[in-house]
Amino acid sequence: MSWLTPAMQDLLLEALWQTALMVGASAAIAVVIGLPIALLLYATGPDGLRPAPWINRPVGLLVNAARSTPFIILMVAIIPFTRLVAGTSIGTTAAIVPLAMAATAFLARLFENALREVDKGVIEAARAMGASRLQILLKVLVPEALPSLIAATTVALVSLVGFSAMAGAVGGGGLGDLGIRFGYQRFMPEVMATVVLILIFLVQGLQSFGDWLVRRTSHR
Amino acid sequence: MADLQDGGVHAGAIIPHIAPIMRELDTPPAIRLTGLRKRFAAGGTVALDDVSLEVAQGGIFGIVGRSGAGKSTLIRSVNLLERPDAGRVEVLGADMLALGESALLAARRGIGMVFQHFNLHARRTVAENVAFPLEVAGLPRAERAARVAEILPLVGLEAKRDNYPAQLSGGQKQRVGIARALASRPRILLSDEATSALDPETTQEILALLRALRDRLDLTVLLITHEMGVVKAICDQVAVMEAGRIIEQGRVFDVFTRPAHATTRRFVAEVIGHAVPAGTLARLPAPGEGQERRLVQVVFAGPNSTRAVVSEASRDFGIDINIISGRVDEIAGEPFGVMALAAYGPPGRVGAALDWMRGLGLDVTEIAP
Repeated sequence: MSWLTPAMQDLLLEALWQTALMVGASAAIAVVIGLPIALLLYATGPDGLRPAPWINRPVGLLVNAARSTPFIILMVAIIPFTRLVAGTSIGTTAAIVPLAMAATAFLARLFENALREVDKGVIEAARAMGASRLQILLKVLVPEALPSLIAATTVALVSLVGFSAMAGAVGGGGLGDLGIRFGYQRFMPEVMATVVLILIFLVQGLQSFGDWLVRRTSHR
Repeated sequence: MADLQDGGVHAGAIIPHIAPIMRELDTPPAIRLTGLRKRFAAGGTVALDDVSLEVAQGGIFGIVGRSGAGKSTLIRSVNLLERPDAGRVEVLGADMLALGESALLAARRGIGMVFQHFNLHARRTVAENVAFPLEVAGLPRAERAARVAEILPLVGLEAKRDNYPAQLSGGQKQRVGIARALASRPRILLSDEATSALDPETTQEILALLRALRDRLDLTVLLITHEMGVVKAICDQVAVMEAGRIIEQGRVFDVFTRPAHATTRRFVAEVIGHAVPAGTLARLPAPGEGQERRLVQVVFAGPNSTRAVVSEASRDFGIDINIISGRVDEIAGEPFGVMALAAYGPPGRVGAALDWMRGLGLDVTEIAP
């Protein structure tokens, strides 16, 4: 364990914190922005509460465009926007902007699918009881879909851990970046292995927590 | 609407003995559908083809038909979950199609609805499900809780208030559905195949509950079903639908005892099957020398339904009557019997006996041998 010097321990801890920050912050932003987009896509879809193709199609197109752009390209392509929002285009904070953008598009679709899975009968019952469209969205769809929304968020968190490894490209730091710089570029396979191990535990932990939360909330 | 219910000053108030009659004339039907048409997709199937019906206040009106007959579209037209292409929908005197968005939502709150698959919120407890319509209507939390506590005993579910739907049986789920439908004190209850997903015993329980609630809460019930047994059990009026049209409607007793349309006869036969197997008819002895044999079905209904008609006919007309099948039943609370008879006797006398039966108000029809 001669490689695990106090300095390396500090580096690992710092990288873990950076990863946690990038994943956590971008996921939080993605949930907050992605859910309204998902509700909009659901409500304006062909079988939605108020079909509106002139809204649904452009928004859907935008979401798909963001989803199909490779993350590494998205990251550099939106640098001007990143600078506008974060005030800088390098560092952990700057990396959060493209991560949040990619995760928002990803989650918007996953959330939309989760909303679609809600039993149509429950929605019809709510309509019959005189619920307005907004009430149906907020009092029926979101609560009923909650377990699926949590499951989708878990999937997004796990993907974000992977995406965050690429944040090194904009100086974002994090575990993936550490693994590449020390493990690969400085020939320290122990560091690489440690980073991978930490990531495996991180992902496993996120997944287990997500699954537990889904079970707790579903009441099935 | 309010002044219609309160009566105002009318003839009934001045001449007391005609008050009940006047009230009946004054009371608008709870639901009046006029000339409803609905076609799904251009050139698609016609779900409603000029459908009109009236549901009297306090009545239980059943619409029966096979799947695809249009009954589901019809019941959804009442609260405009489905908007008809043409026609008029009046509920408690209000022209539903003329209502604006928020007025329609308010009107829907006055019409309860129960569903075949219950449509409960999986993540809400029983109490929270029942409170949902009250939440939608903007009632404060304390009032919601009070109303839920009031209504759960009506459906016998006080003990299950904190359970989730997944922990309930089908019958219990439908009780929650009924409690939820009645939470906002509607005057009208729509039932969309409410018992079709339940076993026969639970079906009877739920039907009894619906009838009890109708009596207790002064509800008007419109239900759709594909089971004639449901109509027989609780309805007082029935309409039979086929291919988007109402082919027959009237009092349940009349429709059951004298079905006019072939489809109706098939529906009626499901619950009070009085068809005699062909093999049984073929085995009946032929008439003797100088005698004739007539095979008839006699429906016993009305004031003479309890009279000893068979033995009287046999004695007074000097004929022999062989009872092939017989059955007594009760429809909409009225006794009703069906018998298949083979009558033997000299020509003329058998016919005279049958005419005598008809004279008593019994429904006598020949069965083809």
